[in-house]
Order: sequence, then structure tokens, then C-alpha cells
Amino acid sequence: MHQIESQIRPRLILGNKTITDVSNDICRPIENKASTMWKVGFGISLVFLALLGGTLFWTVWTGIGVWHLNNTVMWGWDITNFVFWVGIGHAGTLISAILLLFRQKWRMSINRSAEAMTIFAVMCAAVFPLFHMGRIWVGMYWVLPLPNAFGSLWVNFNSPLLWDVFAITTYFTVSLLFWYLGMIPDIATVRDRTTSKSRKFWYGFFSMGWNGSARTWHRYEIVSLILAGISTPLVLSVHTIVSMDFATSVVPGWHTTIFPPYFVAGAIFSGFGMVLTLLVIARKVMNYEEYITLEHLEAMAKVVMLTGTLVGIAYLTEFFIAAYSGVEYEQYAFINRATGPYWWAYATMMSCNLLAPQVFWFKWCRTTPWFLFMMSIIVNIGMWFERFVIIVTSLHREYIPARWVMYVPSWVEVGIFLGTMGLFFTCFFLFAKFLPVINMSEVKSILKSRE
Amino acid sequence: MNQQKMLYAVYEDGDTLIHAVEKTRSHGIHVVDCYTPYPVHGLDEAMGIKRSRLPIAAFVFAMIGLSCAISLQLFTMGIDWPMIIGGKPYIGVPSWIPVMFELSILFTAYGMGITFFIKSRMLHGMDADLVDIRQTDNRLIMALNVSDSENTTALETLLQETGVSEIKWSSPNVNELATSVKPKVANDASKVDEVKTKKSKSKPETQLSEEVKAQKIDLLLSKIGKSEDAASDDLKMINEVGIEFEKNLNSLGINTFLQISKMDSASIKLLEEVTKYFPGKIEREDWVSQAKNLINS
Repeated sequence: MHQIESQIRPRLILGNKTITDVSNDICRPIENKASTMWKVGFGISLVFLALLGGTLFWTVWTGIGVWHLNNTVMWGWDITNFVFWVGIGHAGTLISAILLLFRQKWRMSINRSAEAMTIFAVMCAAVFPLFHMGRIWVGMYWVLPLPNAFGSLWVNFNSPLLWDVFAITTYFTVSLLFWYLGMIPDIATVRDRTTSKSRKFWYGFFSMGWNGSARTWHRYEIVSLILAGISTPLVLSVHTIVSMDFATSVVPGWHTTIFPPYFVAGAIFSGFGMVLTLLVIARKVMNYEEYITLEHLEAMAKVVMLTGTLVGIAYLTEFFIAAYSGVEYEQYAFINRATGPYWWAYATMMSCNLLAPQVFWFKWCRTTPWFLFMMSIIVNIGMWFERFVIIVTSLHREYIPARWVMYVPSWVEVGIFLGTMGLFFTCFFLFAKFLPVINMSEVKSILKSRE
Repeated sequence: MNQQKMLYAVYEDGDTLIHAVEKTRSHGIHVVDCYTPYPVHGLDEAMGIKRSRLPIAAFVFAMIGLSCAISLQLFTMGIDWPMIIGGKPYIGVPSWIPVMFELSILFTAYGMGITFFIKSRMLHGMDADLVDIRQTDNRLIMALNVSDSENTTALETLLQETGVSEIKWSSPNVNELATSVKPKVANDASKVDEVKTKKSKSKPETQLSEEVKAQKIDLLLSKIGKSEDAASDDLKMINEVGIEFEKNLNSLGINTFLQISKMDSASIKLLEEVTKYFPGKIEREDWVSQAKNLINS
């Protein structure tokens, strides 16, 4: 019941908050009118969301040929962006599930927003494979295990692409449940505090009659623990399966067994990068610096450094294995990556992912918000380029030199990518306005503890 | 104040509440439930709540998911339309593992979620049974059943020692409660009604056939007497009776405090059989004497 608390570590939540303060602070954005800054940000996001709608419409209307994919480079920006977004979607469940199992209490003030980010990122990711199928109106039908139009021919369960469908839909729905379940007590708090009729109705509807009974809390804690327990292997499985999309094929540069751990490390790396991007801004704008403290930022910076280094080691291992294997094609694929026409992408990847995070050995770098923000952008750029390098440089010069081509994205592909940014931020702005961004009930339980 | 049966002790801190629960229980007083805005670790042990068997359910759901995945893949790949893909056998178990794994997780998560909601009696749009409007915000409540307690002054002194910040009795001050607790609930009565109409369709049917049910209702009403529509009381005045309960009671023809005050254990049993709602709730919260008090006041 009484945990041993370290005396030298600072408190997790600063400012001697009481439980009333927590409710007041965290319900403030919900109960007040939207700020100008929120309106401007939301407006800009909507513009990009419209861009997504426009470019997707154009793709469907004209055909997939408006993308600059070709017979050699049949995966380009679309799959790059897909893997990029799915990777970002890994931090949320990692923070809330794995850190819950490890009893890391610092997760409590960031897990809600990280989980929201997960869900929105997976939504963005889903856009790409769906529209890449060309005929989106039958796309949903193709990926589900239903006998198709040519008789009772079924989906192919030997294909990693199908595993991906199962992995990502499972990940999305389970993350959504986890997120929602965690939010019910807080929605009930909003319901009981508000005097607005519509808010009372909607928060009442979604709070499912929560009354904070000790018996319900007892069950709730057990369910959370089980969900965390099953989400942990789930989150690791998702990017493992994404990596198998590549690793099970015989394309030089893809056909490697280190892909699963390497992709998972990369996903955590990019996910934490995105969490940092969002939270450094959010804690300032929403005035949550006492909840998301420098301790939190520092802890995340350490994870970024660790996973960045892991990814870096994977890059070097790949190179070594290519040389050591004696396979000519494999060797050429890597030499081409580093010195071929896309050398600049490779250089960006290496410097952003392996070299840049090493600055986090210094405490100043881990605890200075503006610097962390800058670094988080670098991480995001680096991880986007990692996927671009893996996909495009491996494909554009495969086995037969006669098939070698270059790939440059069309404006539609760029537009869709920017558009998914719009979708992501639109969702995030709505979340920040209408739902409690920090898990109130959990934060209330750690007000007095140090860790 | 000797006739009161439920007592709500309001606290402001989790540790204080745990000590209070331990102390109260050590004096042989039954702690019915606690309501807290955040999970108070150790409270379940202090209250003597038995560990939930939900993990067993999790395992069962995982196995259901696993067998669904196996049979789906076995049927499509091995039986219905076998094809050689990449030189693999028709029934190539290793490449089925990812889908088996994912479906096990999916079924466990949703099975657990749904079991949790059923066990906790939670449903979208449901009206929360609140003891105090602040219980989800910044107050922790200990609900005591004090039916057997003779000496209420001693009880109050005991609670004062545990650092209680407020003590609320369940009924003589119904009016006071009505101002402090009910207004929020009453405010949204109209809106909740809208939800109720939608919800009533999705509610699980009682297992009783309509005829048996009608017979039981008749029997019940013959015991406690029928009421004219004109003479209906606000049943929500009974503590713990919300809009939902009142509707249910009204639909059975129970409209007045008089009827409720006439209930004996047999008729309570009948009512519970008919409604299938919260077995034991009526006796636990002692609606009968609450209703008697309301008639007298």
C-alpha cells in the first residue's frame, strides 16, 4: 500500500497540486471557449485535410497513374508514408502498455496524448495501402477473408501483406479500446463538472454510467493490466509484420533477418520523436508544464537516444552482412544506397537517426524544450528518409540493369502525404479541445509520489 | 436520526479513506462501497473485495480467438480452395502464426472490454448512480450500511476520528440531499429520457415469458396495492433510485411511496424476479423504510 519513495528524486507532478487543481487544470480547455491559437491551428489543419480529400479524389477519379510509380519502383511515397505513419503509431501503446508493465509512473501524464497520437497516425497510415489498391471501392472487400468474385477463391494467408491487414486492424481497434477505456473515468469527471446541457448529454453518453465505485475500479485495474499485457506483444508484432512485407521478398536490401527488431526499434524511435514534437508544443500552449515536466522530456529524450543508436547499429550491421555474405546483388544494393543517385537520402537518414541523437548524452540537450523540439523534427525527417531509402533505393536498381529507373514523386503523391498531416493534426486539435489531454484519474493517484 | 440506514462519509484523500475503511470495518460496520475519482491502491484489499476472476475470462477469449483463426485458415487454405503458393504445403502452419496471434489478441481485448462493461453494468448513455456529484472530481466517498448500528452518535465520533470531512445520511434530509446531489441529475432528466428510449431496445430481455411476468406483477400489486395514476410520487426521492429505476417501477404500476412501504421480503423478491435489476439492491438500500420516512415527512 505504501510504496517506498526516493527522497532525492523530484516529484512527478510539480506545483503541489491537489486533486481539485488537477480537475480544474485539465478540464480547462474543454470548459472554456477555444483560444485563437487553437482556431488558427485547426483552420490550417483543415486546409491540409481538404488537400487530402482533393488529391485522393483525383487519384480515384483519374486512376493510380497520377502517381509516379512504375513497373520497377512499384512502391514509392505511398508505402514510405504508410510505414512512416505506422511507425509513429507505436509510441502510444508502447508508453501506456510497456511502461505500465514496468510500473514507470512518469508515463501517466503523457500516455493519453500518446495513445491519441497512435490512433490518428494509424488512421493516416491506412490511407496509403487502401488507395494504392487503385479501386478503393473493392479494396475493403479484397483484404477481408471473404470469397471473392471469381468463385470461392480466398485471401492468401501465406502473404505478409495479409498478415499486415490483420495486424494493423487489430492494433487500431485494440488501441482504440485501450484509449477509450482509459478515458471513461475522465469523461465522467467532465460530465459531473459541467453545467452545459449538450456537454452533459454527450459526456454522459460516453461515460457509460461511470460512478467511480471501488468495485468497478478493482475490475478496471485488472482489465487495464491484461490489456497492457496483450498490447505489449501486439505493438511489437505490428512493426515486425510490417517489416516482413519487405523481409520475405527476395529483393536485395530487403531480404534480411534483422528487419523485425530493426523496424521495431525504428518505430519506437520515430514514435517518441513525434510525441516530443507534440508535447513540447502542447505543454507550453496549454500551460501543462507542471504536469509534463522536464523530467518527462528527459526520459523521452533518453528513449530516443537509445532507439536511435539501436537503429544506427542495425544500419551498420546490414552493411556488414551485405559485405560478409558475398552476395553480389546485396553488396551492390548497399553501395548504391550510400553512393548511388540517392546518396543524399542515405546521408540524411544516417545523420538524422544515428548521429543526431547522440547529442542526448549531454543533459542540457535533454532538458531544453526548444532544442528537444528541433531534435524531434530531425528524428521525424530521418525516419521518413529511412523508409524512403529502404524502399526506393532497393527497388530502383534491382537485378537487371535494363530495368533500372529513377523515381520522383508526382504532386499528387506529395499532396496526399501533406494531406495526411492535415488529417493527423485535425484529429489532434479536436482531441485537445474536447477530451482531457492528460489522464486525470491516474495523475490524481500519483500527486504525492516521487519516482 | 435513528431510522437512517445509509451513511455517506466524504473524504478528501485516498490514504485517509483507506484507514477509515479499515477502522470502520474493524468495528464490524459493513462498508457497502466506496466511490473515488481515482484508483486508490489498496482500497480493494481494505474493503475485502475478492480478486476478480476476469483473467480467466481473458484466457478463454484468447482461446476462442485462436480457434477462430485456426479454423478460418484451415478451411480457406486447406479445405475449400487449396492452392500451392510459393511451394508451401496447403496446410502451412508457420505462416499462419501471425494471424493466429493477432486474432487471439483481438478477441481477448474485446472480450475483456465487453465482460468488464457487463460486470460493471456499464452501457452507453446510462445514467450514473451518483451519491455525490463530486465523487468523480475531488471527493472520496465511503458508503456505510448502518441498519444494525444502534448508536449513531458513536458512529459519527468514530468517523470524525478517521478524518472525515462531511457526513451525509441517506434519508431524513432528503430535501437537503435533493439540493446537494440531485439537481445535476434532475437537470438532464429530459435528455436522459431521449437516451433511454433508444437504449430500451438494446436492453437484454428478461428471461421470463410475458405471461409469467404479467402474473408475477399482478401478484406483486395485489400484495402492495394498486395506485391510481393521479397519486404518483417522485420515486427518485428514494436515495439510489434514478430516472431509470423510476421508469421501470412506473411501468410495473408502482407509482407511490405507499406501495413501496408495504413491500415485504416476498414482494421484494417478486419485484427482483420481474425486473432482473441489481439483485439485493432494494433491501441493501432499504427502500421500504426510506419510503415510510418519505410518507411521514
